[in-house]
Parts: sequence; C-alpha cells; structure tokens
Amino acid sequence: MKARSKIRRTTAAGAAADALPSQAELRRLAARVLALSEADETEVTIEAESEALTRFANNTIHQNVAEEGLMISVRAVVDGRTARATTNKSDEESLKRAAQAALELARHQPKQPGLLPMAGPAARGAAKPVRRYFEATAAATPADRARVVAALCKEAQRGKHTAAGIFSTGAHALALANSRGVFAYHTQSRAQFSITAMDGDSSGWAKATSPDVREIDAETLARRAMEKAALSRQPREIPPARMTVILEPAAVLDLAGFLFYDFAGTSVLDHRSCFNERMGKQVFGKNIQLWDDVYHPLQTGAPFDGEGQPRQRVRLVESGVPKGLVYSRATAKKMKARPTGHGLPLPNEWGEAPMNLVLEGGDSSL
Amino acid sequence: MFNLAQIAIETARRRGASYADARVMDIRSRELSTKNGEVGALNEAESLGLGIRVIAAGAWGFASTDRLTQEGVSACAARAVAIARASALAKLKDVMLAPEAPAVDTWQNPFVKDPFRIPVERQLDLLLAADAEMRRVKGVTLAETSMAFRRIEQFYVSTEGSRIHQVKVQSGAGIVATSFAGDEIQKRSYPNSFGGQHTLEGYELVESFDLAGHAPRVAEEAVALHSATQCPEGTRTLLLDSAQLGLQIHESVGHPIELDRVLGMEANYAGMSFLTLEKLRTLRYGSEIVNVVADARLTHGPGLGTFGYDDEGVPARCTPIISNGLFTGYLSSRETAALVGEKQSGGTVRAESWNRLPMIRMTNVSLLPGKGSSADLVAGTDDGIWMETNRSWSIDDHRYHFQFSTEIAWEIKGGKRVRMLKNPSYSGITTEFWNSCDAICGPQEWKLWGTPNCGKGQPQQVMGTGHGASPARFRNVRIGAAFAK
Repeated sequence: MKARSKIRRTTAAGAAADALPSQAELRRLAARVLALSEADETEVTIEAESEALTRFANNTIHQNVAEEGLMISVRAVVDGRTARATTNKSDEESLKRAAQAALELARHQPKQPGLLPMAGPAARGAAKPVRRYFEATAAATPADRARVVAALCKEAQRGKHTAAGIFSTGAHALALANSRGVFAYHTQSRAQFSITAMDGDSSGWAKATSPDVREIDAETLARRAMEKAALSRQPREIPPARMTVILEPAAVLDLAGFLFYDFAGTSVLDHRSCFNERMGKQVFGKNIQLWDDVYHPLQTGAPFDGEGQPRQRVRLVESGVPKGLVYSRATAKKMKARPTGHGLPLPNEWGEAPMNLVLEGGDSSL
Repeated sequence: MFNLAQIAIETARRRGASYADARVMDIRSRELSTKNGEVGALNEAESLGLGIRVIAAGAWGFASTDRLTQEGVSACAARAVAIARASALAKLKDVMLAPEAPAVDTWQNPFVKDPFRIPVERQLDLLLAADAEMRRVKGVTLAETSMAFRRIEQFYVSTEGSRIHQVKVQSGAGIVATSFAGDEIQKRSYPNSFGGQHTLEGYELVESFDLAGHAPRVAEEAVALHSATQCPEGTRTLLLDSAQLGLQIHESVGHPIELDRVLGMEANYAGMSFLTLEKLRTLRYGSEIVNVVADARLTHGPGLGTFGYDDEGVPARCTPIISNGLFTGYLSSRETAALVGEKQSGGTVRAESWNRLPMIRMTNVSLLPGKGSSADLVAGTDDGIWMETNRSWSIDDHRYHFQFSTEIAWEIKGGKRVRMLKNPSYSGITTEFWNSCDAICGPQEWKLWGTPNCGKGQPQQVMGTGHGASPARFRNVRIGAAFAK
C-alpha cells in the first residue's frame, strides 16, 4: 500500500489530473512486475484511470459519481503455455502473487500449439503517436460539470421539456511492457455529453465525445435535442413498407458497428463472420468505403494492441467490396497475412477486432 | 475492512453529509474457456476497493477508490461530499429515503465445493472432454466451452447504524456447438446460451451439468438444423422452454418494473417503461394463471439475484409483481419508494463492484409454476411450435414491443412433436403476450435460470439476475417474421 501512495494522490476537488501516474511511474511499476516473474516470458499491462460522470434526469442531477483505479495484469508464458492474472493492488506481495498466479495457471494446462513467443521491440516498430490528452478535460471538476448541467436543466424547464443525460470527464493511462523489451504507453483524456429531451409524446437526442472537453458544446447539443423533440411532436404510425430513409451519423454507426467483429481474421477462420465466402464480392453499395483507423482525428484509443503491437490503418471495404481483415500476430500466421496490430489481450479465443471503424463521407449534402 | 468503511462514513459526516453508506468489496474471479480443443481464456482476477455514497446539501454524491489507507478512504469520502454539493447546484428538491431499520448481520450463500479450490487442470479437463465430444460430430465447425466463477466479499456500513458482512460465491458453465454450411450458421448450446447456466452455488453446479454427456446431442442438433424446415411465418400457438421463458421474463417483466426507469431516471440510456404509475394495481398484465414475484430470499433458490441484504442494507424481500394476472408491484430502492409513497424499499439495489453506484437491479424475477408436465403441455396442443434456447433478443425502450429468436424449434401437430424447425422467431406486445398465456407447467419442471450479463446504468454496470420458470404455452403469437424472405 505504501508504494501506491507514492504514485497517486486524490484531492477532494476530484479532478482526474490529480490522480494519474506519470509515464515514468508506470514504467518503474512495470519493471518491478517483470523482475518478480519467474516465467519464461512475461507481459504486464497497467491501466490507471480517474473518471467522473454527472447524470441528470427529470431536469435535475440524480447521480454523480467518480472513480479512481489501478489495474495490473500479468501474462506469463511457460513452455508453450500462457495465462493471465490481474490485481488492483500494487504492493510487493500482491504483485508477486499475481505473477505467481499467472505462472501457475499457465503450467496447469495442455501446450498451446498456436502460441507465439512474445514480440520484441524490433518486431513492434514505431507506433505513430496520437495526442489525446488535454489538461482541460483532466482538470474538470464536479462543479464544472454541474454548472453546465444546471444551466441546461433550467433551459429545458423553460421550454417545458424534460431533460435526461450525462456529462462525463476523465483520463486514463495505459502501459504495456514485456520481458523482451517492449514498452508502449498511451494516455488520454475523455469527455462525453449526451442528452435526451422529452416533450410529451416526442423526444430528441444528441451526443458528442471528445478528448478535449472544450470541444463539447453542450448548449448547442441540448438545443438540437429540444428542436428534434419539438419537430417530432404528435407522431403517427406508418405501415411497414420499403421506403427511402435518411439516417443521422449516430444511427449509421449503430448499423456499421454490428459488423465490427465480422472483420476479424479469427471470425473468418471460425466461419462465424458474415463475410465468409463473401470477401472480394460486391456486398455493399459502391459508395461504401470503410476503414479501421485509430489515427483518425475524431477517433479514440491507444495506437497499439493487446500485445503492444502498433495499430495499422486497414481498409476493410473498398467501393462496397469487403477487402481487408484485421489480424493479431497469431491469426496472421495462421492465415498467411501480416499482423495489423489489432490483437486482443492474450489469452483469448476471439483473436482480434477493429476498434476504430471509420465510414468515409460521400459528396452529397443533406 | 469495516474500520476503513467506518472511517469513510465518519469523514463524510464530519464534512456535512446527512447520510452516508460505504461498501468495501473484495472480488475474485476465474474464467476458463476452450475452442476447438485448445485453451482459449485462462484468467484470474482480484479487485479490492471502497465506494461511498453520501447525501449532502440534499443531493447525492458517490466516489470510489482502491487506495485502502486511512488517507485514501478519507480523501474519497471528502470527494463524495464535494460531488454531492455540486449535484445540489441542479437540485429541484431534497433526496428522501424510505425508512429502514439498521441491520447488523453476516450472511453467506451455502455451497458444497469452493470452485477456487478445484484445480484448474481438473476444470480444463472437464471442458476439453465436452469440446472433444462436440467435435466428434461431423459438420461441427466450432466447439466452444466455458466456465466462470466469482467470489464477492462485502463489508457494508451506514450512518444509520448498519454493519453487514456478506459473502457470495457463484459458478457457471456452458458449451456451444456451431455448424457453418452453405451460407448459414446454426448453433446449439447447453445448458443455456450466452455462457450457459450460472447460479449462487459452488463447483457442484458445474459437475451436475454433465457437459460431456450432453455434448453429442448438442452437436448433432446444430448440424441437423441445416436440413430442418424453415420455421413458418404466421400466427400460431407458441410453447417456450423454461430457459427462453426466463429471458422473456427478464426483458418484458423484469426491466419494465424497475421503478427508476418508470420515473425517467434511465431515460437517456436504458430507456423508460410502459408501466406508468397509474397502472399499479389496475393493469391486467397477464392472464389469470400468471403470477410473478421478485424474490431475493434464499428460500426462492440460489439465483444470481439472491442475497442476504441489498447494497442499501435492506434485507432480502419478496415483492408480488403480477398476482393472478394483475400488476401489483415494482422493483424499488429506498429513494424511489419514498418518491412514489411506498412504505419501504423492495430491497433491489445492487452495484457491480466497489467502484459503481448501487442502483435498482432485478433480483430473482420469476414466473411461479402452474401444473402438469411439458409432456402434458405438448399432448394438449393440437397445432403449435415449441421453441428452445435464446439466440437473439430485441425490445423497445419502453419494454413493450419485442422480438426473440431461438436456436431451435419443433412443430407440434395432434399433440406430438412432428419435425424440427430452424431459424425460429416470435414477436409481440408485452401485455398481449402475457394475457395469451393459457398453460404453465408445474413445479417439477420449474428452474431458476441465471442471466449473468444484464447491462444498465452509466457508467454501465453488468449484473447477474435470476429468473425462474416452467415451460408455458401462449396462444395467437406472431411467429417467424424475423427470418421471412
């Protein structure tokens, strides 16, 4: 427990910036874990987070929460076997116990024929850096969020709307290191605002997320939600029929999001992808271009995967034809492809997944 | 641990909180899985921390920490009070809680075999044996098995004087055979889909499943589905096995009776409910034979919604939800009970972990048994479709219109199962559906199913819930629309 107090501190003000350990602190903690392990190879993933969320409904704040946490996850490899143990305690005894538990779990299983040695730094290459940490977000306090929400609730009341939603801010740091010399680090702040405005028999919704809280225009989002609620008053049923529909971006994302695991190499190998027997064929309209791109300026997340491998930008669909899949190192070897840096933390049965879908815009205006 | 929780609530009180409760939770989990004869996941995890909930300036604040030192929990408590004062900036009225007598107690669910003391290799052997049995069947393209265990130890104190120690041990396992052929994927699961069956029991639960013994049937059915007839579209008599009925209860009874939903507190995320307040004790929810309770007591069974006390220190209770078809009760918390004028909370508040705010969650929401066997039910059905094991679910944000598909179905003609049907689905409107129920099998086929993956709240929390049911029959149900061409 003593070690913990050295790497984090909490203030009553409750800003995320106060609680996160630095890159150097995480590197030292990772080195401690690696030194404690007796496995053939060891990988350690450390996540520290400080998040807060203000929730409102019926034009008042009804839930208002904050959390801080540290998670240390150890993967051991011994004699062609691997397993993982995770703890949220960073004292010496707990770290040693986690390292030992991972090793013991790994020992007591059959050999895994497809298990690769851990990647070294040379294989990893350089991940293109992404800037996703903004002090303004990490420094936001409960009072900052409450003032925004209070103003919107008053506005909703004036317009005879009932508003419900969230305003969250926070930050997290992620480090991954292994005994072959890999060290990857990412830190990111996160802000999200969403609102549902209800107006008798109708409602409207709006949402925005950004690593920079200054990019969140809560007032405009609230106005948009209230306008939608006003426009959809007195709805009437229409019979089921084929018709042209226009979907807003969030609704398009909902549909595209259902496909995310279908683009995993393992999903195709396991014959559970909807693209089995359909790769290279015209499945979507010719105007559909889909990428997985963690480097897109509106995307989120770390530029490396669950093994510390740099994420690649992958074209998944070109002019409506599914052409690309994402691969972990192990799946790439099985499918004679190149790893794309999309592996999930090992051991797992799912392989990999594209975590940053981007559907390219076209040239039509609304 | 009680001392740390006590320090937290005393700090909150000193900083002006009118109410505080604190939970220390020590959670241990183990997950194992196999896929096509190889080990998939093999993970253990532990998580220890404290969450404190306070009312200050008439508003709520919650904070959590895993720094379990005097300094860490004091800072956390101070933060919770600061958050509550911030909440008060948008306050319309002070939070009120329904009264509850403080409890000083200890509680643990009974179990025979501690799953964490069973060697991992023995657990893997059991899974790999079932995996091998499924792959023996030609046409199976994917064999998957899994086990999961969780031990939750909890220390709860409140400024009202409660001091409760609870330990819960839960276990679960399941197998799935998938068969891909042509452009179609078919699958069968046992004892249930989406991770199998989970209850508040020890390793004896997993041993009782005989996974390897059931694996050949599961695999053969997955392959046979490819040659089965497509489930026809139309309005038919529907018979549901108890596992699918468990999920039907979860979605179309369990969620709409959550009082926080009814009062709009979940409107921006999980949705609301068609069960507005004026419907209490006036709405005919189901037919005369439909009786549903929300029962967290151990006497109801070792469900995922069973406990000694909820996370507000309220003892496990039983609330009649539907009584002879009439809607008679909600799932409530101390706050929502006070808001609607109920005398006490229904005792349904739980949090996923120490770092999450306790909120209304289903306990064991169960359909009470009727009479007769499923053999009697089939024999008494001239023309119908029996559906089994959930494959997908969808229900609107007021929990009124739903559509489910199941892994397999059988057509019933003249009181007999005559043929297997593939891609079965059914849809309906909640109250019409439950009012069309004309037969519920007896207690000998009643089973308490666990739903380990119920999501709710922001930040989202995943919670286990229990649902008891016997097979039942529903008339004039819309069938087959999901896969109609």
